[in-house]
Amino acid sequence: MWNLFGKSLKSRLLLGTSRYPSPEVLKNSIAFSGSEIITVSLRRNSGGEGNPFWEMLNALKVNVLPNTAGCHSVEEAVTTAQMAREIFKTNWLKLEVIGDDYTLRPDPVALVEAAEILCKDGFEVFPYMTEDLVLAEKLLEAGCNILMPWASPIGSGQGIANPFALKTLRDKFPEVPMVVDAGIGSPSHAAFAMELGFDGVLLNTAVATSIDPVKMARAFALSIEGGRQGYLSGLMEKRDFAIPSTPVVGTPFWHNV
Amino acid sequence: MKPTVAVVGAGILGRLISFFLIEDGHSVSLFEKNGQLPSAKDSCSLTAAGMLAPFCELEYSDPLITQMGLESIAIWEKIHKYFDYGFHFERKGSLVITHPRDQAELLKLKEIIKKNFKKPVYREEEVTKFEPFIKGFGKGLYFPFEGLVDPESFFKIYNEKYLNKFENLYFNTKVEKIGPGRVDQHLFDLVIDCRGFAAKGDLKDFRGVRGELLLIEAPEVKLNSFVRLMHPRYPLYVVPKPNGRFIVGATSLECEDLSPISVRSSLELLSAIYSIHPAFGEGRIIESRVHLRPGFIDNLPKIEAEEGLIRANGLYRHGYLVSPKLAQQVFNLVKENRSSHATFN
Repeated sequence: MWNLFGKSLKSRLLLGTSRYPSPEVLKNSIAFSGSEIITVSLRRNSGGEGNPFWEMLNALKVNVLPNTAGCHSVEEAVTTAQMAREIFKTNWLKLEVIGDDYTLRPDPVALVEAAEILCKDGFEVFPYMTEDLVLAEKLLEAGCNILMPWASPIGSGQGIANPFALKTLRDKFPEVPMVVDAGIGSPSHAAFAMELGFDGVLLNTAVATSIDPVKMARAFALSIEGGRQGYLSGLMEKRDFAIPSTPVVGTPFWHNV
Repeated sequence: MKPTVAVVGAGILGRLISFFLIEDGHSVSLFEKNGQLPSAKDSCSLTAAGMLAPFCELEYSDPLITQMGLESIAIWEKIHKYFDYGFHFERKGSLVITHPRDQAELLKLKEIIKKNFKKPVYREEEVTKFEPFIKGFGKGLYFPFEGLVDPESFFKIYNEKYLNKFENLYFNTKVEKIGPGRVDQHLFDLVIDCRGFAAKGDLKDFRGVRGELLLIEAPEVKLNSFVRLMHPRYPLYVVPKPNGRFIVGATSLECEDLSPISVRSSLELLSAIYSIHPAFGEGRIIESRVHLRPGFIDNLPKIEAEEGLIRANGLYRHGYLVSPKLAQQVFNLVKENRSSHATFN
């Protein structure tokens, strides 16, 4: 169990909701993975009275984390956020401000600016960010209570590109909830993020576009749980030589040389 | 006496169901809110590009669609013959191409196909071998068994040669209420509801999915068959039409919004075709089309039946690909008189 802004959660897997073969596969993936937080994009699919897809997501018994995917400026992000609060009746917001279209790299300057405006406006801002330490500091100063550093570019499936920087970030702010968001390709990537001590993992493409999304969602849930338990149990330190795990009493000492 | 039947909705499914029933000697009346050849704006069936791509669809769809699609193509061949080849139907294959940075999408399609078919269903060769016009794409996948139906020419020949076989025609008639054996004040032994999205109020777990496409005239561009460009968000295709025209589509957005095509979608579609060949840059945008695909929550077609009423719907993105098979299944239900309390999916 972990606690996030007053919600008691069992699952540390946060799932995106786009690109599934059908809404039903999406529903089953959420159900079978036990995910309790789902993100949903407001841009592109917006327009028209009463969106049935949003109504379906709202009807699921999970927390909806609306996002500002596709926004390129502070103004766009703030407007989208306000729409999201109306539609999904939540002050949670995944703040995404894209700075570079090719890599979907977040724009750190606009991100901080938008975060400041939205935090003052009462939003609980989940900022999608690079793993930069100073950026993290600025976002916390802007009023964010959680950080969402990327593993690698969105949809790339590259896994954790810079484990050293993520670990540094994690160790620098041990009290701040942190979710690794974007770039996760396989369950082992997610497990690795959890072993580094992160509180959760957010992903979409790796599940949605797999051949069997429901099974893949479950695979991620299991690996995230495994990684978390591993982190809590204290991972052994690496050594550069072998140490036998079974006693070697009886082996002549010169055989060990 | 064979039961008298009302078919509500003269889209592709309603027309094919009627065809099977009339050929079997049933008296069929047809209800349709639009005219005999509505504009694409009013008809999902006429918005469609008419692709018959059972293999390529595996990327985003259940293998059931592929199965139904393969059987439907065989039925299309018979229908084509029945109408004296009077509408455009071809099986010249299709080509799947990809930009180098989207190679992963192509690998995924190959993997899914490998999982579903033991025999080879495509050939992987240089794109220029099949489409000399398209350069710089390296290797692509050519699916020789895939094909196309031209919706407009099918509707036209059907209007001309087949509408006279109906008992009664109620075009430009907005139906208010459908019930067992009943379409508004008209009584029948059996009512078949294939209104597509218009049936929304009567169906559960059913919604419209917005699709946007463009009709481009680019006489300089020469394509032999339809081309699918792998795209990370939706299947993007270019379908050659007569007179140097091309249909470019289609987006897939989870909303029931019928407003005109967005700037973003236009940019995506246009930059995609421009990347296939710069000669598209000299083309003209003839029109844009927006419609709602009727889809159940699993994106699979469904037949619901009770005494005196059958509802067939949920063609989603696969109207021309699966409607012959779905129509045949509805027909079999009627013929075997099994139309009580059954749901087929």
